[in-house]
Amino acid sequence: MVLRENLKKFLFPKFDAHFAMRAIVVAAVSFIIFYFFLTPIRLRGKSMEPTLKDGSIHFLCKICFMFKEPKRGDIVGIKLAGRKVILLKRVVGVEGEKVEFREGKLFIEGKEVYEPYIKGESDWNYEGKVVEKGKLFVVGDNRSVPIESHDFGEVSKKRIVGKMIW
Amino acid sequence: MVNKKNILIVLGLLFIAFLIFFYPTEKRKIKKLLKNTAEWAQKSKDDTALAVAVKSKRSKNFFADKVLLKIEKRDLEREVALEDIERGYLFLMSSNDYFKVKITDIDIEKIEDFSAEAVATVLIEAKGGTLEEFSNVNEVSFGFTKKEEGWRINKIEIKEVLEK
Repeated sequence: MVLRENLKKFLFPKFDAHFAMRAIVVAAVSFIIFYFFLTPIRLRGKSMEPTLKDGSIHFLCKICFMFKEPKRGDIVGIKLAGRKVILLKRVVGVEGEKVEFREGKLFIEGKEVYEPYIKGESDWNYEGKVVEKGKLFVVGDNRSVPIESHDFGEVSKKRIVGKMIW
Repeated sequence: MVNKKNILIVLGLLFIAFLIFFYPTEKRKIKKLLKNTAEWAQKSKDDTALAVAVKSKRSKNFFADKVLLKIEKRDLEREVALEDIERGYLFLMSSNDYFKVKITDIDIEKIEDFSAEAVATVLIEAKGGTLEEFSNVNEVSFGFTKKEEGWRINKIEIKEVLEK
């Protein structure tokens, strides 16, 4: 009986000052969490397929890189002019490393890197570049597309807005 | 009983809110110009060739007589005349069944009496027709000049965020 009463109170609360205060606090906390710490994003495009599907929803951790640097394998959000539209790419090289593609395979410092997230055939050939200081080398997971039509390359660390965690 | 003084206060606050949120400042005019330009550069399958031709003539509402076009990725820098913009517009619209431009995250970086600069994210999507399906997102820097009729775009610079 008591449980029923409590459930009723929970589902149909009285619209009094306490309720308003609780609603304001919940809204404010949600805003702070989802705006500053864990931003939901909807993916558009096929550059991260098959790992991330066009139209799927993910969360970007904005504080994950506050105390540590992005590392190879991380999927990161890259800021363009603002924060409404961001690019999602995978870090494959960090500063000082030479990044190459030979017949679709990734080579770092001349050694082949195993990438379990890559599915499908790729014929990419990219002669290589040493990643400059303060930059990262990012690529999408969809390497089945021609290399000319895929946006990848070095990006300033200042543009990294977070790490995709889910 | 509603107090007249309270009504005046509410009206005053509404007026201030209107000024804050809707007054057409120069910044808002520039943002509106970019939004209108994006709207102008759209095409759906239902748009007839005649409608596209008529729309192409409206390019002077958005662009200055000469527009400096810069594409960092291709090391391209050239001045484009208004007539070339019209021609390019006609080509793009007749080659695609569907064309969409969205300009978002507009940030006015500098504004003076007769010139301004802004940076924005531009999404372009094209499909159908004779050209290959295309979808791209870029950071674009815009330059503006103020004419008698209002602000006009006089520079478009496509930034290279990812350097190959």
